[in-house]
Amino acid sequence: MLADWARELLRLTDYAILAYFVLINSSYLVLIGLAWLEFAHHLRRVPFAGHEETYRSQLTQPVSVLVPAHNESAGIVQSVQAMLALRYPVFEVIVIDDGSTDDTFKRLDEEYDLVEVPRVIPDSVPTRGAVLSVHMPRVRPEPLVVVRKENGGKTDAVNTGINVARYPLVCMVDADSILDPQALLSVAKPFADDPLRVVAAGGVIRVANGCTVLAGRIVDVQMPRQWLPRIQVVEYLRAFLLGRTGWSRVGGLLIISGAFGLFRRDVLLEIGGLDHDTIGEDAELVVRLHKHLRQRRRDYRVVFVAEPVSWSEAPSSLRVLARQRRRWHRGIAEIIGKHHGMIGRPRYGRIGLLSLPYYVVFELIAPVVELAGVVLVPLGLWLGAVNVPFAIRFVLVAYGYALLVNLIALTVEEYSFHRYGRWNDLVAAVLASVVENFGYRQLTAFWRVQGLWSAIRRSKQVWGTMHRQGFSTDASSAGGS
Amino acid sequence: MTLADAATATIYVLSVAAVALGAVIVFGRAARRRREERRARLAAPARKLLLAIAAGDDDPDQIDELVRLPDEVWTAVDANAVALLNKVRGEARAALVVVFERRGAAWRARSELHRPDPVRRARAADLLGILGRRDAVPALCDLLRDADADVRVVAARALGRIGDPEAARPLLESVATRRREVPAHLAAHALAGLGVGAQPALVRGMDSPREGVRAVAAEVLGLIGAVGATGRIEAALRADPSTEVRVRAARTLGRLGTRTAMAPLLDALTADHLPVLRAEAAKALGELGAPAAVDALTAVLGDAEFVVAHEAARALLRLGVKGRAALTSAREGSLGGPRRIRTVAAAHAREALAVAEIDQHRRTLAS
Repeated sequence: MLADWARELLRLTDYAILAYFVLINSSYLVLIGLAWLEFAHHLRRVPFAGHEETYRSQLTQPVSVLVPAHNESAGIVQSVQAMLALRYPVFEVIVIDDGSTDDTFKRLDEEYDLVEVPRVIPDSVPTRGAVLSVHMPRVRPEPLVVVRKENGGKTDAVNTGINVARYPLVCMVDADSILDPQALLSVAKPFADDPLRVVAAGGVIRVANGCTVLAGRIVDVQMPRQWLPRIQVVEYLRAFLLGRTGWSRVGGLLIISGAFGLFRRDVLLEIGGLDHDTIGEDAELVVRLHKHLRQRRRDYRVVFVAEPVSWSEAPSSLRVLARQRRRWHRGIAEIIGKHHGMIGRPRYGRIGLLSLPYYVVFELIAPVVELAGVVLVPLGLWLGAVNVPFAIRFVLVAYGYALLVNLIALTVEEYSFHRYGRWNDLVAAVLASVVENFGYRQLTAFWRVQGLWSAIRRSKQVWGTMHRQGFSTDASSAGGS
Repeated sequence: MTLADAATATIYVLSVAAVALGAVIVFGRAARRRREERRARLAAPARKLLLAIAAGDDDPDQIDELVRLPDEVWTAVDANAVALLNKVRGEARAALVVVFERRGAAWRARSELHRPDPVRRARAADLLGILGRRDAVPALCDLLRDADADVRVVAARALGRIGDPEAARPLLESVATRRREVPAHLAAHALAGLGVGAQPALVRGMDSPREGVRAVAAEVLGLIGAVGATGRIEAALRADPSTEVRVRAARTLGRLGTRTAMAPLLDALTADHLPVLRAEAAKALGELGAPAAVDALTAVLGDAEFVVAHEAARALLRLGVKGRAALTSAREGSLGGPRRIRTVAAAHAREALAVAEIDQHRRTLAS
């Protein structure tokens, strides 16, 4: 009797998991649909976007580009060169060397012949690691500032950068990022078009592995040669480009990647900068921004810019990928834990009623359900709760739908930005969409559950190190290819 | 239908959809490539002609040849032609404008201004601005109240490019139109493009009951170098109820650089004003370059407001020998007052002098 009851429960659980898979993929489909509408709107208006006018205008708001760097010697010079070559009327690049133990600073010093400057740094937002020295090029006229500080983590480095920044807009960029030359003009455009309401704008992150980098710029976009980064290309496309564009379209964007985001400095000062005690500091910042502005009933917008983009090196080893995914998911768990009071509250509008509940149901617990499926379906099969045909249909529907969502994402990319121009790139992307379902999804689900568990246990935060291969200075493929 | 049947049907649907999407991607890519190749092939000879004209070759035969190009060829090269028109100046630009005009582009664009599709309206407005069509100014002014935000922005930009002072009043009013406004600094950029001819409208704008209009007017008067309006701007700095307007008035007085601006700027520097205004006043005093402001600026070098002290130090650098001497003295801690203030002043002075030294070094190497 008990065994029958257990089998029935298991059968129902398996059905529920299948329903969950269908729902989560349907939600991706809705977001992709919204993103498509946004792209269609955006691409038709590119010819009169007015970037040239923005570039020439004396009234364009200057930007401080903040580049937190910890042991980034492999690619720091190329990254900074590329950032200094960005097309924007007035900007400064502030590299915050967060207690690097490698020769990050030495590389910059050799390239730019840095000289120490006794800068006065206000304590507008809280920091923990003391600033050791501030430097600027002795001879070269580039608007570069290099801040050396005690190690305090990425949050502390960015907060120090916010204090050092002199301009009304601050752009957060990862040290390994390569920005398209027009990236700053594009991401700043919403601030020009709607200056009173736009407080933050996020840019797209794409995978740089496999691309050809020349003089700090991506000159040829290709799919990586390794499967791990290849799968991430498709994943980034679906989740970052299309997912976030979809959320932006409905005014519910919760995440602006710390790898490429532009913020109004005065608003960052109002909310005290980034939170030192959250591991997903970039997303937490945006959620706190929403909370702060909604509580004060201010009319504001947080937007996402689909083009041009920032290119980042994706993990090419399972070990690094595992660490990244644990950290990301722990970040989501901490943010939801910290701001759970916003969930379901009409006061927080679409953020409280739509975005945060979605993140709880389809992000936070998704890996738990995914792993449950991996365990419970074979278990049900073993105990006779479900039969073999059901198990096969379960797998085909769940993963087939996920594959279809990936293909739709690739279709949208093909008809909008079509960055990957070669036929073999297309084949690789389609194959990566298939391969993602066999091993990758399950592994990432496992790592994400580990991240969730560490958030629940509140274990010590470990930032970890992203081992980068850096970008070559000549016309060869980017690291990780 | 059982659940199993539904699942089976779903699998079939998913399979068909996956194959269909694959085909859509492949055919879409193939079609796009074919289109691009055809466009490149069609555009190649016309691009050569365009580049020759852009390089200054105003051979009438080449212009005629471009005018006679079939529509499908011109369509292939149209985007390049507009981009070139945006970039070149002088005779090359005039020659390109002739090509556009003779091909009927301006006439077509004017007829597109009232299309239901906002993208077509915006493209038409953009082209009319690039061509500098003064006869389109009234129609473009109407578009400043368009329902579509992009159309309004493009219309403002086009008016700035055309440079007809008649557009000054509608542009000023566009920043304060409820729900259909043009972003203030885009309107300001367009107004600056109208030049000194816009001055009367801008001076009238300083009396507008709307804060946004006054702020833009104050800013643009500085950008167009309206020295004759200094008195009105000084009055705004002294008495305007809006801090935003006063900040812009201070910035404009710095840009205009007239001696009479000194008194209201010194007054705005005092501690009973908001830091944002005081900092702007300090900066403007530096731009005036009058050594008479040294004492006032030195007095705020140790200000508790970082931005005020910072701007004061930078301003002192621009006040000649006397300003530098004040900074050196502050750096050595020789200023009077409480120790905390002396420490802050010394830090700001040290930074300003160090940066100045680097700038000087760079200039020496460059010369």
